[in-house]
Amino acid sequence: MSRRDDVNVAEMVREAALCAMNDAGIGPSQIDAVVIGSAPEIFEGVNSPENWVGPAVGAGGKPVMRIHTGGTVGASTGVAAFYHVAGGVFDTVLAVSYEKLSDGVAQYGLSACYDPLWDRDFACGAPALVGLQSNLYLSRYPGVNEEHAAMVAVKNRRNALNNPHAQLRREVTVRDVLDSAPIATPIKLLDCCPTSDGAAAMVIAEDRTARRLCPRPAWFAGVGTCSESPYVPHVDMAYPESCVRAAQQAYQMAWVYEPLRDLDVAEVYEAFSFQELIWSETLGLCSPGGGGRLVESGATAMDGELPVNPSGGVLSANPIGATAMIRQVEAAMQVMGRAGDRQVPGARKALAHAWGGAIQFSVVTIFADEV
Amino acid sequence: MDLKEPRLVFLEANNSCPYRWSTGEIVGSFLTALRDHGKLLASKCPACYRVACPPASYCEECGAAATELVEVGPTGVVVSSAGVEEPWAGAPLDVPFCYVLIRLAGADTSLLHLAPNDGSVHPGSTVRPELRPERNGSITDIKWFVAAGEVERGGP
Repeated sequence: MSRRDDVNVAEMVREAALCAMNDAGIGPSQIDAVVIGSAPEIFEGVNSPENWVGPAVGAGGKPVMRIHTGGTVGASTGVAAFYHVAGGVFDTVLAVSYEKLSDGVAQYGLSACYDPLWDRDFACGAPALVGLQSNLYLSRYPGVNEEHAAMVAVKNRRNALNNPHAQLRREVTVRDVLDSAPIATPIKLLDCCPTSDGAAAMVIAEDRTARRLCPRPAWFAGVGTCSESPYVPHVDMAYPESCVRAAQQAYQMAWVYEPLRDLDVAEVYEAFSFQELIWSETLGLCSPGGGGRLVESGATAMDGELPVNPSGGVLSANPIGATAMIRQVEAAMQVMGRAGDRQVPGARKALAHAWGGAIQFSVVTIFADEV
Repeated sequence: MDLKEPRLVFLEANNSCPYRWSTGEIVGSFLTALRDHGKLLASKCPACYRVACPPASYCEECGAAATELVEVGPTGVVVSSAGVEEPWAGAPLDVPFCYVLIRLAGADTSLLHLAPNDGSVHPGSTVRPELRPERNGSITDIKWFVAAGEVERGGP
């Protein structure tokens, strides 16, 4: 995850796909179907990636399906591959997702995603949208302030030092964050994710195959997805219902009753630091308005009760189409005990969260070390 | 020519293409009323009575067809804002501005629009639209929303 001038899109996706297949000890011939996810084509300016990415991962002659749900697409792609297998139709499925933001202009692409009848002319991009979300949140809960968001940035940017795949790996202080350049109040430069090139891939197999391929697989223990209004002002951005519902579905399926206690690690989609405060509330890690106290208490630090974003999170790399799958991959690696320097000792249940499509879509996936 | 020597090449393009978006009848009525009369319309759901602005021919809350239009605003209350100090190339205005969510008087939903970034508008402020003299039937026929004077406070 960084700027990859040395490869084109298909080559970059191939790299991730081969990495996942090598890890599983299989080749393309043992894959029964491929699910490909990418964000809007306008980011790269190249249409219909499903036409040509398949053969690049060795999936010529296989069933290929493309998934597309804004920023959540990476997670939706993993979930779709899970449905392929859980539905009993396919045995072994490859899920791949990518984004190569350096090929285009990220904020232009994001602004172009808005409805041309209502808000595209405002060139709102992502920082202004999340600025509105953050101010709505701050004004609702006077106990939370910009310093709490800065604490998220400090924590996640420090965690990124342990992640060789992170794009930004530099420690910052609360003061650095608060003093960084204003982007769209209350968002400042160091509250923001970078634009990245990157791809992610997972091999998802049915029970017996998974046990044969891997001594300690990560199991899909819970899955929840939900969507609401496509028009931003119609969503309660300070407490999006889609996230609350997606989490409830996943928790019910994975037997999670008290998320802070029952989960061992979480990877959440904080494209901007304020969002980790909001998601920690909608995911039920704390009560509404408790996000600031949660990060301040150290509960979400690497040595806390529930480490959040050991990878450094989205603040440390954001190849949009792949980002939500990276959360799943990181969560899965945690319960497989293979997260390297960012491993949370003894992690058995891990949550991956994603938001996308102008705060319209939410996906929550829970991985466990046993079914 | 050494075929083994790696070379990186970048192909450059700047695509643009004209589009012509159908608005549908409900949105078309909204844009016409804004252009010709400077009025703001909302759709009212016959089933759950939700008044939505921007309007739509369906109710996002309960799914019913919503074809009745009612007038809302022109004043509204700012629900949230995000200020921009230095507009970038391609920004909607070339002076400092705020993105704002506005709950128009009589509506149950908020509208995304712009406001001055001079301290006059913040969450809780009552604002009114500043219409452009030349209007072409788009949401940008409203330049932005400015603080409403004391006299106008409280809506129509």
